[in-house]
Amino acid sequence: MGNKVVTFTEEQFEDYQDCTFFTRKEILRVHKRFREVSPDLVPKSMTGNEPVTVRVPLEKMEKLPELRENPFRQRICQVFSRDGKGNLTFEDFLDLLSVFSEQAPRDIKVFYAFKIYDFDGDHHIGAQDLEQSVRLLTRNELTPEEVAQVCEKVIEESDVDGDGKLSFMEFEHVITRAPDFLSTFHIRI
Amino acid sequence: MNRSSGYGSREEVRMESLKDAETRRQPVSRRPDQHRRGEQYVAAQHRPASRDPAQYQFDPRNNRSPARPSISRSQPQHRPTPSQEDVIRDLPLQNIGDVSFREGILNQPLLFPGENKRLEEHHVAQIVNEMEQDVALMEDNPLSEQLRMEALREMPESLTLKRTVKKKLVKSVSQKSKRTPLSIWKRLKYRLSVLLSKFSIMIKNLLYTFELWYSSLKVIEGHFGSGVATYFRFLRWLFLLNTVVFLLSFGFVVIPQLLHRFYEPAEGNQNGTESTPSQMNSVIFDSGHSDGFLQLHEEYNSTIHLVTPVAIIDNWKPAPSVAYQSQVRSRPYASNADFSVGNIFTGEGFFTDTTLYYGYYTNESVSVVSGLTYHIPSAYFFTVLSCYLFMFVVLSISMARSYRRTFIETAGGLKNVVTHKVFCGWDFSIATGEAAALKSKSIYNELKELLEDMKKEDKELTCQGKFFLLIVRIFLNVFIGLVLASTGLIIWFLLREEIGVDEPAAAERGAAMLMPLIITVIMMAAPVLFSWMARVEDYASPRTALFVTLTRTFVMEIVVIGVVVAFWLTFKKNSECWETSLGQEIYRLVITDFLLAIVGTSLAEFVRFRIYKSMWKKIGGPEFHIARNTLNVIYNQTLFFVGLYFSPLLSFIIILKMFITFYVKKIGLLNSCQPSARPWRAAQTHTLFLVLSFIATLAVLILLGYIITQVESSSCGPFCAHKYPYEMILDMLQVQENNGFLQFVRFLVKPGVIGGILLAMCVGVYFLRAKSYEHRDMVLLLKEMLVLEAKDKEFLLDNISKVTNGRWDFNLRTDRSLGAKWNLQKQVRKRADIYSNTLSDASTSREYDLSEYERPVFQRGVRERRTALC
Repeated sequence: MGNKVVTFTEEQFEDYQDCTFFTRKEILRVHKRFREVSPDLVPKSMTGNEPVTVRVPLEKMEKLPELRENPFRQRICQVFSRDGKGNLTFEDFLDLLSVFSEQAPRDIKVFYAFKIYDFDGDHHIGAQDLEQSVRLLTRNELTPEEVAQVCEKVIEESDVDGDGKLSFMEFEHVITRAPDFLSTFHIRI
Repeated sequence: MNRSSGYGSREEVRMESLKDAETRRQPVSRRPDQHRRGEQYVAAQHRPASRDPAQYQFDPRNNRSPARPSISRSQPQHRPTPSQEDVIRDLPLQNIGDVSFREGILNQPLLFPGENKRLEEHHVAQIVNEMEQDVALMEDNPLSEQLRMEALREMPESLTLKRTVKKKLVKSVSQKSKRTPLSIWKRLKYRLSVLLSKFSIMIKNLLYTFELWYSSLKVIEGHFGSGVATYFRFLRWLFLLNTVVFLLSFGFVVIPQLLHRFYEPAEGNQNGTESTPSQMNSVIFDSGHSDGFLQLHEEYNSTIHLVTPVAIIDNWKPAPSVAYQSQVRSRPYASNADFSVGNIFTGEGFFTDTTLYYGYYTNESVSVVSGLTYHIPSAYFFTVLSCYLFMFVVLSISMARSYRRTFIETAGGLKNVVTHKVFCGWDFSIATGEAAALKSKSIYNELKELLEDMKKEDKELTCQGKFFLLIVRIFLNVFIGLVLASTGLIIWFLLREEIGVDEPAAAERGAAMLMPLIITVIMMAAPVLFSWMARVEDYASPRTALFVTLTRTFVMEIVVIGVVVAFWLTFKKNSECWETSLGQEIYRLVITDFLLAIVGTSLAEFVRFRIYKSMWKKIGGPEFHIARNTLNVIYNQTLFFVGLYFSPLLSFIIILKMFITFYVKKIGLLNSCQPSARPWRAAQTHTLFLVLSFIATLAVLILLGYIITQVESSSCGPFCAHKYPYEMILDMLQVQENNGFLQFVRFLVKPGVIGGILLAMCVGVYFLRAKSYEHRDMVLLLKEMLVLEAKDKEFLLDNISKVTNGRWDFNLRTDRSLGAKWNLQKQVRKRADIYSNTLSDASTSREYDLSEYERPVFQRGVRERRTALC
């Protein structure tokens, strides 16, 4: 027995392997990263209910090196957190990294990309969502007119049914044809 | 807007638009992923269930309170029309993922944080319900379990929820299963599939543990984005590929050859006298090369047997004074020329007669264990052949896959430039502040550029300008042709100099290193020159310019290597063993390339960076040229392709070189390079690189085929007993000259037949290409129809709501004055009739579809409407 701490039970491992795109070692690595974010909150052993109950607040999650520089970091955390405020439990975090992993298929990535870009959560990417994305991307360098022009152009290019905003289908249609989507929508842990 | 009056009918309309959304989806989304078959099956099973109105009972939007917070906040002025609002809801149930997509959205915690718990329970119950209806998923056997897990894994839901679903599913499965005894066949099948899946998980785990350079790649991606990382990934990929080739060639060719050297009796030279220890010692010291090579003594029957120094078979000279009985030799290279440091660079001297080159290999068999023989020539032949075929197959598969992913599946996507910039512009793997700042800056610049372009999109070149550009391009192309030709000539003369065709004394002056040095310098200068030329040529997009530059540099490579090979094939009489000489040539090229292009460039970059940092800002920090570096890797790989046949151990040198290259480049990159502000289309350029490597392999394969069948082998190497190497196979198979099969093969390789086959293939390609253009046109047409359809639906639904509000007559009357619209109104009325039919009979929903006959008329109507509105 000795001093080896059991991080997860066999059953948990099995569940996580079945429900994510990770192998056992990767799950352990994810746990390590999660603990690094907030060592005082996250216990070493998570065999009980901890993966669901221990929440790391958004402010700490944002400090994760992989997310720190990402302009969409808040939104990413919000999308994956179960309370919707961006506080992540371990399972949320595992889910997040699983979606961003290399093994995740295109469809699931597209789905979450849509959710991330849909800032106001109205199931459409409207002009305001686009505006926010563009501002975050360019760090607010473009003038309001230019931002408006870009958004207009985006909608003109990809809005099929002419309602002035992008539905999931329209988004999917555009994104699956972007050659670089898979290689850029990817976080290495 | 009053909606209560038409509510019941709107429910129906929604059913229609569900169907409509389905038909609409067909042309839009092709799903290429193969591994979703399980779910598509599920989807087929589930589609009927989705029509069930009860489906919507948890829909928060069914209680359409006028002040729905999110919508009214985001779109205050815009009432969502039914068609828009229903798109999400009406996503066809293509797979489980989509089911839960819809419901996932409905349950969005952002909207209803308070009801979270209750909604979630419903949600889980719903998913479980859906899945339980599927027979294939719910069987109590490993196959269906696998399907279940696949479906679960690809469901866009939170992990916690998935776990609950999984638990419930497992429970219900074990409840349902009747525990009927399984047949033996089935049991075997299940056991096999379980074993297989366990095995694949194990392999995955193993590969993951040994993932090469994982942390390096992560650091590089974090600092420089995924563009630069593609170079390193490509390098790693080739490294692994070459490692496999090395293992093959080392295991099957080099080791047997070494064994042959060590263990083979020195035939015909055994006089049977046993050497005494003292004699032996003297022999060892006599033949004394002090270069520290293996001196193997073997204790045998309490006497020490000496092990002979042996040269290669054809210039075998027995040591006159001592005879040896033992079968074990040491110092197989003892008769070689003395080793000197310079040999490492030239590959000559000591190395000439080693396992490094073709000429050293014997044409005999090894028999270490008595009774079993290992025929080295056939081993050599088949190993090298399988190495080439292996590389060829791997390259062609990955090229085809990459091509499909980046060009075919994304065809027509290039029009959405701005959209892609916004949605795929950010590189999520970036992890450092500088890189992130740079990325934002570059996105900013690109958006700006795009906006500028939009303004002056119709900038047409004047006739004069076009003419001027054409002249410049023609001139530059001619110039490049001249550069290529002169490079070829220079190399040819250098080679002549080297082997002393003109004046034998020249060979002594160390001309050997001159040629590779000059070639490497040319290879380094060419990309710079070519990219400068592409700038002058003023191509429409930077991508075309890049592709043109890459292709030209690649042609340069081919010319250089081609001339070297052609030279040796022409002047093979000048060398004892031209295969070895060619191998040495390649070896020198590989080594100088390493010294100059990799170590040298990195050092130069470092110096430049120091200067930039400390004294002279204007010089600008060095940038990492992905294209140039990758081309260098391809050049290296091409050299390897050519050289493998002539030098099996070259694979070892290549992997060593690649290994060092990785670290040299990484350290150089992280310490002295700046991230580039220019964008890099990683995916498509990667495909181009694969294509180039593929072409190189193909060319080398053809060359090899020519060498094996048409070029006489020299008096050294494994095939020296035969005039042409391929005759060895015929000997081995004991095929007679007039064998029918051989005749057939000979017939196949006749120029006429090959030409015919090529012609047929060209015709086939032309046909397929024409077909693909046809398909593309069709897709465009369908797209157009899609847009019209959508507009038309929107318009109709608008009118429907007017009808239900009782305002139709009013509209009709006012519109009648506009004569141009009358026709359209008729059409609309027809549609409205169909709708009312549907209302009266909800089950016959099929009638909504216009028949083929009606469609064109209707579309004309819509077009007219659009022009009228304009």
